[in-house]
Amino acid sequence: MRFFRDTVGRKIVIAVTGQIMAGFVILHLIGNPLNPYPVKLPDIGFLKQLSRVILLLSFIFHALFGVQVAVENRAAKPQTYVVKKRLRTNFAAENMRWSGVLTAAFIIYHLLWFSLPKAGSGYAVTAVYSGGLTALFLHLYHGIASFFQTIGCNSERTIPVVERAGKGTAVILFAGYIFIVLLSFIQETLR
Amino acid sequence: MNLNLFVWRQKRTDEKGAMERYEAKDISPEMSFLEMLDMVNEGLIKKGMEPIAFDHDCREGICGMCSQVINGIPHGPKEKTTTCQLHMRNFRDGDTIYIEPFRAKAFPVIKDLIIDRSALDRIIQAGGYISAHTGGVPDANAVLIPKEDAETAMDAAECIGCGACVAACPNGSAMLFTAAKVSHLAVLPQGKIEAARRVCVMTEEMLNEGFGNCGNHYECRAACPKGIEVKFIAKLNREYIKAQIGMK
Repeated sequence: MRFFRDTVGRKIVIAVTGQIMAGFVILHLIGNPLNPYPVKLPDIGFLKQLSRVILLLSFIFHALFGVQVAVENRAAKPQTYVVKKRLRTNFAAENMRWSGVLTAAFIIYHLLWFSLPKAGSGYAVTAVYSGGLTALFLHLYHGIASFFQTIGCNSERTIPVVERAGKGTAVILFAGYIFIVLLSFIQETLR
Repeated sequence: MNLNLFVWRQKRTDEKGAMERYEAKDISPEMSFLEMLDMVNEGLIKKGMEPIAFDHDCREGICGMCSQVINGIPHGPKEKTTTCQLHMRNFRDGDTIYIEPFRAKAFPVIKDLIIDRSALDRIIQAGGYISAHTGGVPDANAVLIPKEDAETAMDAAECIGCGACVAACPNGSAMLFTAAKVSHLAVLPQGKIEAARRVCVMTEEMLNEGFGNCGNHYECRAACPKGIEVKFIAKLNREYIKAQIGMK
């Protein structure tokens, strides 16, 4: 299908799948059992299975097209400048490919850690979780707002608002998750 | 004022280039950046050396020929200004200035600071036109266009096709250029007829020419000498979605 080869088509796939996963990241924090103030999310078996399938498909498509686009983008700029000033972009936007790879690795680690019998905890796990959450934070810092631009839901008036809201959401999510990680670490160390 | 220049020198497309140092002496702050280079070149010619090759035409900021990445910014440090309209008063005596060609796979260096930008022309050829026979100059108000739409079309049409967006983009994408051309025509009644096909073939040609994909860095907007807004990229994305779901 043309759509999956087009520059905008693939960007839309990346944006939509990314935002689905970002939506999960929000729900996962709100309903997290380790969250000291958890919100009980509706527990419907069918919906749970369906969301798992959607998330898995999102993860696969997001990663596949993300890698493909990153490879093309690198090829489109074979020679860099001797002197280059950064005008409007930021560290997070420039390193989406790396924060993406690290986040993917972190998600796999996180799933394994919870499905396998606990192998080790304490300092090492806290360090891995902090690192993984930092990668996720950087990815969302650019990604959440980017979604609205890519699906064309942006105007001169909304662009700065969307950008600030996206970055703000990423900061809040990071603060929430790192709080849980540090809390668990402290509780475990004191025990 | 006296300046210390580092300029990219490259004999041919297939030859390796390098930065070379030159001194620009007795430069008047009233000179444009290109006039400063003219002075340097006169000195080089007198010494029997090869002058620095650079692109220029109108020298009044509308043709889109002058390029050059000056101290890491396409068209230099002054916002919304082409290289030809950049005056030396924006620099200080004794400054070191790095001058490089626009860099992208789709913009091969022809010589020194001159690049081949015909890839942008081919994006236009793919669909950046209307095929309706419009005849001569139409009567005023024969086709009514709301003031707001006319303004939006004019804002997009301000693009001079210089390629600074591509030069600034970390992905070497020509999205801002393509978006300006797509939007310019898509808001006008004459351009709406082919809007769906246009957005598809122009973005396809963009990729075929070796430009990258837009990553929403907005470096293009910051470097654009005409201040083309990234809202036009959102508009292009909307036009693309409309084309995909069969809306006109």
